[in-house]
Amino acid sequence: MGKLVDLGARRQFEAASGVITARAVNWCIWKALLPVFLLGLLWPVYGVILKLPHPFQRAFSHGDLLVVAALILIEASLEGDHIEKQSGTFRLWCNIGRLIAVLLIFLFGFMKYDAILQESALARAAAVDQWQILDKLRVYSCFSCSVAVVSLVASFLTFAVVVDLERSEELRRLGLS
Amino acid sequence: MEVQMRTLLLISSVAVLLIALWLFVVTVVRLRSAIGKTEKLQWVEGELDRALRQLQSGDEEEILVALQMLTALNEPTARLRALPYIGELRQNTSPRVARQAAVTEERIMASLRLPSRTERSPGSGRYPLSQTGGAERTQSL
Repeated sequence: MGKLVDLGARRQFEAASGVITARAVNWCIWKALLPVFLLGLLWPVYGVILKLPHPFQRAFSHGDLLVVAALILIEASLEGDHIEKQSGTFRLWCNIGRLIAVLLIFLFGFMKYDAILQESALARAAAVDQWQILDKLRVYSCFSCSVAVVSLVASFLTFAVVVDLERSEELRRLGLS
Repeated sequence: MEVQMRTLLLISSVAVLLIALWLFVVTVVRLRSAIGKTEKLQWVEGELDRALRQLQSGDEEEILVALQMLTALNEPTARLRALPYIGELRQNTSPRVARQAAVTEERIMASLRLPSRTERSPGSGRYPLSQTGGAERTQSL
């Protein structure tokens, strides 16, 4: 019996661990890091390969990162839905995440529209005005990047919290909490 | 107006980055907690493996430890696998082992919501689990 039981229990546990690792890989790479990395790659591509002027502004001022951040936040806020015993704080933060995601999509509309207007004005503007327009586009880009960074970190936090809550549930089921 | 909006966006960017820093610290704390709990679960798995081996060891003390471990840890898979052997241990010549086996079996039956040996009618089979689709019930637990 011993050998059979050992193998059974171990296989089951390893399967569970494998699922966790696979989820972590999925979470970190496909859901969060890769999309942001690919969008971030536009900056060096514009600057080094295509040699376009103002690559930072061109890459990020349109606010595409805001949409990605919104998607990451929505995904993160839905991740913990399956947990049975959610705390009120956890639910509150999930709802705040969803709300921020919706606001980001709303903000994206304004930012994109203004960035397009500014870019068309940039072509016609005098050198002094160009500096002002570029400065504004740089601020838009900085804001987009900051939001993307915070959404990434929030996403990792949600993953950590969800795994922690799942482990707690498992321990509670075993009578060890 | 435009300068104000630009300043506001810059301040927002800095604030957002500070929030990201704070969230990162919280993430590290929660990850460490999750890793600690995972290690605890691994320890439990190891102990259950050992308990299942000890049940067959023939050594009275080891069997007692194994039975107590199975009583304490509510792990349905390991408990179900151990159940036939616990049933046999109830007939053990050592009264301590027999008594502990009875206690463990009662506890397991209660956790699986199955009638214990004393509650079952005679001739209803060794364990109702194999006859009544108990595996599905256990799965749902």
